[in-house]
Parts: sequence; structure tokens; C-alpha cells
Amino acid sequence: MKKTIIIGLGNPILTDDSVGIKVVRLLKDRLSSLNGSNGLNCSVDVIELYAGGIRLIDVLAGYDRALIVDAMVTGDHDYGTVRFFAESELRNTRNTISMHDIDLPTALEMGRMLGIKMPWDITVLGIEAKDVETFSEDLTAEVAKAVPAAVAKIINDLSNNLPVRGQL
Amino acid sequence: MASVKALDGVFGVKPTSAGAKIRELVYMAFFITDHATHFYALGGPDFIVGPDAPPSERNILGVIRKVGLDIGKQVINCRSRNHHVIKMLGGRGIHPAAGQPGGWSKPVSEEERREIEQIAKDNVEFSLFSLKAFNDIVLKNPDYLNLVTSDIYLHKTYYMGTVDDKNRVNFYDGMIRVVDPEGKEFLKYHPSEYTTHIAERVEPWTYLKYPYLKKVGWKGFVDGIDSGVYCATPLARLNVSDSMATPKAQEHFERFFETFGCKKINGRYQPVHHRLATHWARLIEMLYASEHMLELATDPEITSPEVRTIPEKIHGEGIGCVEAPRGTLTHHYITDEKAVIKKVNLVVATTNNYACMSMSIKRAAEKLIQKGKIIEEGILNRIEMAFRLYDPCLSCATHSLPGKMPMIVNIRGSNGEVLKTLRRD
Repeated sequence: MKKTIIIGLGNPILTDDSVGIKVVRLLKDRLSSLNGSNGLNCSVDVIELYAGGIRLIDVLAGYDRALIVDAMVTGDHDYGTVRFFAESELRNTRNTISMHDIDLPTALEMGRMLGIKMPWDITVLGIEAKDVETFSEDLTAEVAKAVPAAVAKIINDLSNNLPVRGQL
Repeated sequence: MASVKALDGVFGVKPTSAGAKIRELVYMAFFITDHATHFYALGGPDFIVGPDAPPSERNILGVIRKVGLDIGKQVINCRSRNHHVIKMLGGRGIHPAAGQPGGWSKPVSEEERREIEQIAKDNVEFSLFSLKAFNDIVLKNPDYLNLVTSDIYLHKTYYMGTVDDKNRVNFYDGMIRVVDPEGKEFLKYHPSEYTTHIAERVEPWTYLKYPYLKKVGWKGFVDGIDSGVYCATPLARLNVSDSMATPKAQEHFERFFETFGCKKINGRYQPVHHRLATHWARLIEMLYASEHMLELATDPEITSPEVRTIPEKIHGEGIGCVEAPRGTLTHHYITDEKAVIKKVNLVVATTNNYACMSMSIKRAAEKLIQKGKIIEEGILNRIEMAFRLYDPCLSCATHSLPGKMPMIVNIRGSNGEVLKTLRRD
């Protein structure tokens, strides 16, 4: 059975930065209510994580597939837009300068370089954030609307044993 | 940790001895992970891979390629085992939740203590290994040693740090000591008196404040004994201290100052002003944290069930201060009669160093652009190095795609006109 991990990444008290955490919380609820009848063809672990970087190596180790849900601030999309990125699309983001820690592609490459089994299929689900600077445990209205749709898409794709990709 | 110490003040309660030691034990584990990350993943690549290497190589992967796979495994293991300690004692590996006014929420079991003791021993070995790597790769390389000891990143400022009752480096508690650029003690005060000694300057073009020494005054972005600019970093902590509190760290402390030719005056070394030495100071601090973690893990009181003094009143004001990895961190809360916070002031570690960072960037530019000659090679990185030694994550844009930190350098002529723009978007 393929092992899949879904990680909600973000700061729970910085408004839309918590959208990844909100998605996995709702996902956990939905999966538990579907338990035994969802027909999922894979073993799924769902976790919240408040920091990325090197810590992701520990968290991802041993899984076949991974979905990382996080806020994104591109300025190129409407607030609440959901975009999926394959690992190959993240390569040009490598930058260790302004980070508390290393970035995701570097963490993955580091894990593989060290002989640690990293997922062969990794997707980042980014949700365009409106506000990632105000202290609040609530999402903005525009971003909150994206959460149920993202969760439905994840469950649908997992049920059909598909990589969670494409557009919403 | 500063927050929970501020809450001790708000509730007018003193932590039990065991509660304070558990806090400190958790804090040492945190310090070790943070310093290891800063050195190996963020600041260290400048030396280990080289200051002129392209950014795609100047990262932890480049460090692993240069030093070997084992170093990568050691860094991961170091972080993993110390986050495990933080989670074990604090409930969560990130943002632990067990600190409470008056102490800690749960005691340490004997089984946990034994595990932490072994982890602390591993930390000591890892820290010694890291210092040896720094010695072999940086100090034995004349080019890198020249970079560290050159005047590119040199500022003679005041220094600040927390010291214990023997004027030794302490991360968790003590008095704030400030020394002048010559190394003489200028101030020594309890953290609760910070507003007497520190003022925060506001400039209209930045939201970050510039703290400075009130007694000296703000004279602009200049160093020297007449300028109130001070530095609060790992380098500053070593500069304000007479010694380290643990034996192996003390050996490296002495070697550090002697390498820079610092003489002892009144029992204390003269300060090191070369800011790139901050990376070396960071490793010495990591060794101290590891040794002290081992001391705490083998302290008979660490498994005491007396982990908390229950508060019985609301005092309404608290000031908590610790040495954070990047510098002195102060939290100041004022509450109402129900302990609901009404006013907060934070002097965050990096904020202390904002003036120094600005000056270091200026200094790098002055050294790299001289008499009409522009040294373009590596200029972006050498300017980045000026602030990365203080804090590599100033913008803290950790979770936003595309994860870039745009950097633009405008080179201007004598009339202020932009002659050339160098950028990395």
C-alpha cells in the first residue's frame, strides 16, 4: 500500500498564513467521517507543521507521496486561488538567504543526497493569501472560501488514487 | 522563554528552582538547533563553500559536497534529537507550550532524564566536531582567515549581553552588561531597568526601530565611543563576558580572543570587533549550550516534582529577558487586574543590531566601491554577508512562494545619479 503524507504548513496565528493548517484540519474531519467507506487506496497520514526547512526531511522520510499545503503570496492571482506545483516546478525557488531555514527543494535534495528515502511524488498546494501579517487565528473571507474546495479536491484525487494536481 | 519570564513578573511569582532548570534545559536544546542551522545552512556556506561561489552552490548542499555526507547526517541528527527534547519537555517541537508563570507544567521523569543526558553528550561531541571543522576549513585557509580578520566588516561599537554573577555568558538569566569599544564595563543593570538605559529611535523610512544607549545618545550610523550604537550578538556576548561557564567552551573562548591578538585588561579580553567572527562565536556558544545541557541533565534536582510555584496574585507588569540566539530579547507586558495584556513592548534580538547591520552594509559598499572602481564580482553576496552574520532571516518570508529575497544594489555617481544596477530577483 502506498504511504501518503499530507502536511498543512503555516503559522496558526498569522491570518491567511494558517490556511494550510485549516485545510488539513478540515481534511482530518472529513477523512474521519469517511473512515471505512471512503475507498481510499492508500494509507494517509495528515499532520500540521509550523515550520519547514530541514525538519521536513524528518517528516517526509519513508513516505511514497506527499502533499504540502501552504499559503503563497505571489501577487499574481486573486486571493484564495489554489495552485498545484509539482516538485520540478519548485526548483527555481531555491534560495537560502532570507529563510529561517533551508527551502523545500534543498531539503528534498539534502535528504536524497544523504540516502534518506524521500517521497517520489511531491505536490505543493498553494493558496494565494491576502494577509499574512496580521495576528489572527481566522482566515480572510476570500481565502476561507478556498478551504472546502481544496479539501474536496484532495479527497477526490486520493479516492481515485490520483496525484493531487490540476486546477480548481 | 522571554514571554514566560515576563509572565512570572505579571503574576508576581518566582519559579521553583527545578522549574527554572527545566526551562533552561529546554532552552539549551533550542539554542543548539538554532545555532547549528544558522552555521551550517545559512551563514556557514559563505566560508565553507566560499564567498564567491554562486548562490546555487552556496548552501547546505554545497557544505555537504565539500565536507562530506557525514556532516549532513550529523546536522539532521542534531536538530532531530534536540527538537525531540523540546517536544518531550515542552509538548511541541516548535512553539513549546509548557512554560507557565511560576515554572513549568510537568516534571522530568528519570527515563527522560537519562535520554536527555545521552543527547547532551552527543551535542558536546557535535559541537567539538563543528569547531574542528571551522578550524580546518576556515582558520587554516589564509584567504578565509584574511576575510574574517579584514576590516571589511569591522565596527568598534559598544557590546551588550547577559552575564551571570561571575560575569560569564548566560542565555537564560542574569544582569545585562554593556562594555565600551575598549572593553571597559560601561553599564550593568537588571533587565527590568531596560527603559532607563535603552531608547528606541524611529526613522520614517523603516518600520524597524533603532535601539541605542540613552547615556551616550543617538549620533547616527557611526561607530566609536561617542555613538550610542551597540551590538548584541554571539560575538557581543563573548565580548562582554569575563569567561565561559563550562570548561571546553572556555578553552575555545581563550583561543578565539588570542587568535585576534586581544590582550587581557582587568581580567577580561579586549573585544573582537571583526563582525564575521560572529560565526565562530556562535560555535563556541553551541559548545557552551551543549556542556550546560549536560550539567542540567545530570543535576539531581532536574527530576524534582516541584516544578511550579502557583501564582496567588496579579502584579500587573512583567519584564522578561533572555539571550536569544541572535541577541538580547526583552518582553515587557502591562496588564489589567485580570491579567489581560493592555500594553506590550518587545525589543527583539535582531532589532538591537539594526544600526550595526545598516553600518556593516554601508561599510561593505565603501570597501567594494572605491575611487571609481567597482568590484562587481561577488558584490551581492559580500553585502549579504554583512547582514547574514547578524540574522539570516530578516525578512522572515518563510512560507511565501516563490521564496525569493529580491536584492538590488544601485551604484551611484558623485552626484547621486544611478550608474548601474545589480540585482537578483
